[in-house]
Amino acid sequence: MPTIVSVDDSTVPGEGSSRLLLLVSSDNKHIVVEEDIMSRSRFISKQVEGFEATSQRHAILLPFSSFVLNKVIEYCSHYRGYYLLEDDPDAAPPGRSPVREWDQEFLDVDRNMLLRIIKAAHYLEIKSLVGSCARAIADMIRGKTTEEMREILGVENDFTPEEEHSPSSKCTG
Amino acid sequence: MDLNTITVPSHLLICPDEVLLQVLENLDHRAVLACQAACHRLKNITNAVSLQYTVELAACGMVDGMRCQETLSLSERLERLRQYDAAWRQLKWSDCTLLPHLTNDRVVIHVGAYKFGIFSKRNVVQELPSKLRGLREEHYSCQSMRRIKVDSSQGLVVYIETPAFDPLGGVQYNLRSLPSGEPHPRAANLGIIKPSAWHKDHIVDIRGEYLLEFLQFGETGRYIVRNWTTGLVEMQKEMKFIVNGSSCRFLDDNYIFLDSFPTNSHFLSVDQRHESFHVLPFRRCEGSTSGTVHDTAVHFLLPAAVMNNELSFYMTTFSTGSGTAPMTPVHFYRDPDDHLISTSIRVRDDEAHTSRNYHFDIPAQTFTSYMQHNLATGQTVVPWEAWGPHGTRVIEEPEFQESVCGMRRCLYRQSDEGTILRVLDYHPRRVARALARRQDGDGIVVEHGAHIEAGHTGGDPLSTTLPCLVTETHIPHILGNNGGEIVLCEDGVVFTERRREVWEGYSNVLAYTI
Repeated sequence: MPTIVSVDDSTVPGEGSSRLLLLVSSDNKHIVVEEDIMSRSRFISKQVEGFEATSQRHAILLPFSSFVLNKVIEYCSHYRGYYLLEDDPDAAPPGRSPVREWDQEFLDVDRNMLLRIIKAAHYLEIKSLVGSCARAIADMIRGKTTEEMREILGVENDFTPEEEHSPSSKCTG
Repeated sequence: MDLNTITVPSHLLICPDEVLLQVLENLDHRAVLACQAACHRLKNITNAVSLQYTVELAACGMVDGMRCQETLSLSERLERLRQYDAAWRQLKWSDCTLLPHLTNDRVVIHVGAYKFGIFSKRNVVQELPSKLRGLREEHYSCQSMRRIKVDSSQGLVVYIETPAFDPLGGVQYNLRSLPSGEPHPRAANLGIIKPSAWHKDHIVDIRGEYLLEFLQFGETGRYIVRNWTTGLVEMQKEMKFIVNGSSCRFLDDNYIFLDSFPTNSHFLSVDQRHESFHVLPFRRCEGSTSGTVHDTAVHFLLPAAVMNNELSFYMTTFSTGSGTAPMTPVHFYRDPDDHLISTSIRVRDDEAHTSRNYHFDIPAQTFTSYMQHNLATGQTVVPWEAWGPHGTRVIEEPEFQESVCGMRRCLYRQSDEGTILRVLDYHPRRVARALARRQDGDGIVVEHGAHIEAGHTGGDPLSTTLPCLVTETHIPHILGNNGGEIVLCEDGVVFTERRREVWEGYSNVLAYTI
């Protein structure tokens, strides 16, 4: 059930004139965060545009846990005010995302967490974070056999034995 | 209940397809193929054009070119790549260009370019055209030069200029941009490096940011590896009794390959002889910019049949490895790590007054893999039995002329109707693909190298197992009595037809390209 919460328009002292947002995670934790930190997220930006159109601000419900959400907020806080090409909606897609050292350290988390971060980043439409996570996951499965890869990614083998031995799936690398 | 501590098993398939695709786009072809075999959903995702391009690029032995704004879409690039690959498989050149030349001048062809001189005072350098890779016939003129080396993936031409007679050997290396002739934008000191005056001959090779120089004075050879973007010397090594450094090249990003052959081998015992290939690291230890290069060389000994006899002729041809930072907007390049070392050895039997030619074709990766193993185990001498029989193909050949580019070697001979060109392709993925498809008309797959009776030399028989693809085609020209040549290039062959009546000079220079 969506909870309508009115958010005070007051500004945070010493932090410019950014307004506050209330985010609610799937485990029902309420997290207050400055609007411009989250402006990297296209999803949040669209919500904020919606608030401005209707002059009504409410909490934004998100389908992932506060643990994941805090991680995403940490990422957005780190890049607060930075321009990242991938997050520019007007720029051409840059292909593979660049290697950023801070991101590599930030994403040095366990496999489950990484998969949950990438899902959250995709939901929030933070392209730079999706790109960095994609790179981190790719690093995890690079050089692995099909069997090892299934285990890492939690994928079931759903091929029939005939399909498995078809020449198209042969690795000739 | 603290939700933070609960670990809900998570798997990749919770992500939508577009996220999965983004993950897979970071992978190389091997990992993409492994994903393809994991489950139906991943298999469907690997059908995306971007991943097909990755896989087919690798299967064709190519690497991606620079991303640039004005180029083709990914599906158009994939289409061109397929055409390029099919053209090579069937040796069907889509284009035959008559290249400009002067009949009285010599022509030098290097992988991506050729130069011709105008009465030896000025030279013209021209990039070889290719429709499928979008290379136009750019050309420019420069001072007279002695040698030229080209790395087309970096748009780099290195040539040695000899401006005027100078007893101290006043030569300089010019580093130019291939299409324009301007100093190369990444080169140090406005594109000019002056090497040491101490020299007799120069061999230059390029690999990424490194330039390999071989200088000779008397019987001593000096190898220098220099970073051409900064001008700094990375490695310097002297070797005595070098008769000819005709074969020193970069093997990969870390090692150089030498087949230095001593002048005084008559006076040395078999153990002291250097009838072997040397592989030598040239880079400093990781992370350090000063200090010496760890210089353990690995010696790859040649077969006993050859070792026990006098080598009267010894020549190694290389295909040139190229760098990975392309400058020109071409879509794909030959994989720099796939190149072939091709050595011919003439073994003379003085008693019987006969000699035989042996030809060794060795993928550079053979050396790389054995070398890493041997450096790890501390063995620096590798006998033929440990690397040769599985890693090379030895053939006893008639007097064919030959040319090497990438993992391909071409041989040619004259017939009444023109020139018969035979291309041997050793690329492991292309061979594997042809074996998997068993397609007719794609050339004959040679499953094993020939078994050669070498009993007459007093040594062991040589037999090798490296497979290759063999394709033949016919060129309706004759090289001429004075011997023209055919040079294998990245996009085809360049045919130089000599005039019959004049020793120097050509009647035709033709580029059969894709």
